[in-house]
Amino acid sequence: MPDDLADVYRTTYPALVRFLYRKVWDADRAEDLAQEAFARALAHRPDNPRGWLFVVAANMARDEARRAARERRHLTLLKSEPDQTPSLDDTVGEQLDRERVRRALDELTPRDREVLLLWDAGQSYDEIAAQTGLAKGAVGTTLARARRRLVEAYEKGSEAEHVARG
Amino acid sequence: MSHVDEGTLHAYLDGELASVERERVDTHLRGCPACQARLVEERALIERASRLLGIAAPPERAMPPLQQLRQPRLTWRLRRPVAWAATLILAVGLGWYARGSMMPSRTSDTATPVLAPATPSAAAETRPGPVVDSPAYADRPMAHLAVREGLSDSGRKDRDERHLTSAPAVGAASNAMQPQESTAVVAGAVATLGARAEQKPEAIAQLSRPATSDVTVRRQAAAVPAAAEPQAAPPIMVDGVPLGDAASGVISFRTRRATPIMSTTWPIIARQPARDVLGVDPVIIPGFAVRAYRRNPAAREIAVEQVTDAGTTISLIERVVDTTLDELGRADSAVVHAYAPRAMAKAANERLARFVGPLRIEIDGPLTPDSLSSLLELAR
Repeated sequence: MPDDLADVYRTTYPALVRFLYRKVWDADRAEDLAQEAFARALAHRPDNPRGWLFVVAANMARDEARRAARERRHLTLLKSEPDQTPSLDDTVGEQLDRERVRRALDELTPRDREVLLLWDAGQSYDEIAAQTGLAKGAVGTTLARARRRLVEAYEKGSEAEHVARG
Repeated sequence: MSHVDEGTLHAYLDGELASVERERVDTHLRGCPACQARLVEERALIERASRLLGIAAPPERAMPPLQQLRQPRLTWRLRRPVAWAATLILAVGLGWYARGSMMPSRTSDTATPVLAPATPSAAAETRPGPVVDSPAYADRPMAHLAVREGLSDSGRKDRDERHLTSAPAVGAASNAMQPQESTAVVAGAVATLGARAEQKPEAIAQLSRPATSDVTVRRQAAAVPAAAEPQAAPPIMVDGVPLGDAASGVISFRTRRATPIMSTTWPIIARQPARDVLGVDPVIIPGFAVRAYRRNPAAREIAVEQVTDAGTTISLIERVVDTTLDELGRADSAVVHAYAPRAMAKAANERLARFVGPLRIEIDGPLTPDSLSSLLELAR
């Protein structure tokens, strides 16, 4: 069982960080949460560690988002800078692109977004169905819709920026 | 066959169709240019979406070794939501420790009692005077000072982990244990001390130095590097099991979870003896039938088992608080906690603890939020 978890760690950790990053939009934070999820898995020894880890990670990210929202309400008057501090090695263009994708993702419904992020983090249709409560047959349909909306929202956002710039 | 729907096309392209279904789609596509065109479109869409998500990917960094994660890497932000829980656990832990320090032979074994229950006559024969007049009492101002320091520190952001957990714990303990019913309970506690001293003569010697306040001061001092002593802080005990790592201030919830409360195995006694043990009437949640009073054979502790309409058993555990805590000037009333027995506890890790005034309510087991709030309301 410990070896099992070590394998899962090797194969799943980067995916879990990726999944969490699209939720908290902070690389350090995403890694912290992913490591915390694995630390909990070491303590709990779940039967299906991969699925368990993503459920725990999703819950942690949701709690984190709620807390952040609460803090934002208190801080709205104080701050004007964007939520995340861009890391130094990013170019301005990369930051802009990421911000656009982030906004596009925000436009998806929570369920569409969750399914898309789980798929992108390497979860199978079966795993996604188990985690989200969707029927397996509905995962493809949901993914199709989520992908289309993501692309549309991204392109719409880009156009809007071009218009705004003149 | 009718045209392939969008979801099936995506499942097909994602490689998630069962072989039978895949073959059926293949067959259809061969004879349907329209669906072939859609397939090309959907493939482009998938690639585009995937590329966009790739833009929003975190930088790739080295993975820390898995072993390193065994030490829970809780950060401050993550810790905050559980801070209240840690606070309560430490507060109670301190109480249990204080208890243990008076009876060294029992510190690691509460579940299997070593001491027989003290008799009131034994208590009467020993002099309660020295307890009150002992040097321990003279040190009270110092202990108070330590508590104050802890409280003022709790507002500081740059505190270390120890401050993080121990300082608020002191605050919560003093908060939660407002003087109430002090006459009866303290009198009971003094009698307890006397009785224990009779059985363990060295306990008197221990009492001559301020056992609990010593602990507090030391913990406090260790948090300030200049005043640090080489002596390691003793482990905090709950039900005879060390609670986390006192030296680092890190609470291990796993240890805690593995610690069942044993009151369900205590012998059943009648109401009047239960009253005699506590010196006051046991606290009962109104509206629920009392099934049994149980006494902890190893301590002056009474459990009142009550049954809800839904069949959940709630135990209110009430014990006489030791005067060592009183030396800190805060433990003047009985501590009570309630929980549903482990047999009921499907989610044993979902333990909940709250302070309601001076009572400690601890629920271990399934309880709906409605039930919880009404329970807390009743306890109030």
